[in-house]
Amino acid sequence: MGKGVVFTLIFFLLGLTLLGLTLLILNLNQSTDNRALEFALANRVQDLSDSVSNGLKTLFLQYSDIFVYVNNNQIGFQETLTSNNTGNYVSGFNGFKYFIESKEPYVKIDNSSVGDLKLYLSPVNMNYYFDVNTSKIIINNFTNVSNITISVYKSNINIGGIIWRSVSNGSVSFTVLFKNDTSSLQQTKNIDLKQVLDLSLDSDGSGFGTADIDLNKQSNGVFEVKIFNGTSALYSTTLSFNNTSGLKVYLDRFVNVSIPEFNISKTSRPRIV
Amino acid sequence: MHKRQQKSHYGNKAIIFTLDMFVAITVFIIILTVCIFYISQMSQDRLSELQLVSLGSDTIAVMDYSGVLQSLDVSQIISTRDQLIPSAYNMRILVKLGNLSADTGNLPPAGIFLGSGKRYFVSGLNYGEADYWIWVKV
Repeated sequence: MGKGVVFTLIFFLLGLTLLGLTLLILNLNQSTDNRALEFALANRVQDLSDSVSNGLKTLFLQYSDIFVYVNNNQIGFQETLTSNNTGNYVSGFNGFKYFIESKEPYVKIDNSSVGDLKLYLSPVNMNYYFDVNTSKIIINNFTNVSNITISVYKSNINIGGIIWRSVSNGSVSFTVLFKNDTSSLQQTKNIDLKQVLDLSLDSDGSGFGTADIDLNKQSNGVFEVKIFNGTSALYSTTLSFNNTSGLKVYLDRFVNVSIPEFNISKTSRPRIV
Repeated sequence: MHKRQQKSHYGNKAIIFTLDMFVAITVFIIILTVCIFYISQMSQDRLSELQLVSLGSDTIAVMDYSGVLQSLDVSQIISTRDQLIPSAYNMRILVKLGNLSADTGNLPPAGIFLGSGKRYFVSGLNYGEADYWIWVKV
């Protein structure tokens, strides 16, 4: 009798053990399913973010009339101001935003002040853009720069002179180049970037009256290139940085993709270069 | 009389023992069946399915970056697809750009796992989308 009871008990315990292990495996599988779902959604968010960012980058490269390049510790910008293509860029950007957001409710694209074509420079944390209201190219947080070259080209502009109104000696090489189809004028000074810098590119050479281009840097770290009289020209700016690598240029507009139900979100700027 | 009682006592014990064993084995088989049922309900290997979707996503991304999607050229899309995905897989791509579209046309078979996704792109001032479905060839 006792043997029978023991036999039954052993079988019963074996069965319970087997059931317990099965439930454990099932639970693990359910957990794997949940992780796989989250992984798949994270991949989807990444894909969306990448495709939208690439679309915005394509629009920028085609319609911004800004050429940007990065070479080791140097960033260069070349743009025609004022550009006739900005309207196409703005309408393209906004149209793409509405196209995406109408199909993907999880995607939000920031289109505030799109027309200024604001760029973000990483890791130096600078912005480069053209303020339409004030007709100025603006570079803010203008620090940690070892070399600056600014050139202005217009085929038929008179080249009068370069007038340095306020400049302090320092260690940063600053080159200004003023040129047309037949001649050019270049000056280089070693300046102190922490001090005020103020100079003009003057087409009539008188040094008086309204300058055509006004370069100004205040001590607050903002550098401005003021364009007067609707002067349309090609502006090239090259910045070299101290001890900086991995320079990247982004369009300073955020693309946000988020699925709040699963707490998955990605916010990023489209990378240009 | 005493012998008959002994015989009866041992016979009863044997019956009870047999019944007891029968019940124990029955209970064990029931539990085993339940376990097998639960295990059979477990899903397929998710990681390989995710890998399939990633393959499709990467393929479409390469086509976007190289301008193949924007071309709306079905033969070019098929050719690029065949270069990028292993021969064990098949993929259908449907591209829409404005009012135009391009479709590789191959429909996936029924009853197998199908990975799918979508990518958006720009061509000039037109906006497009590319849907893909990818599966393991049977």
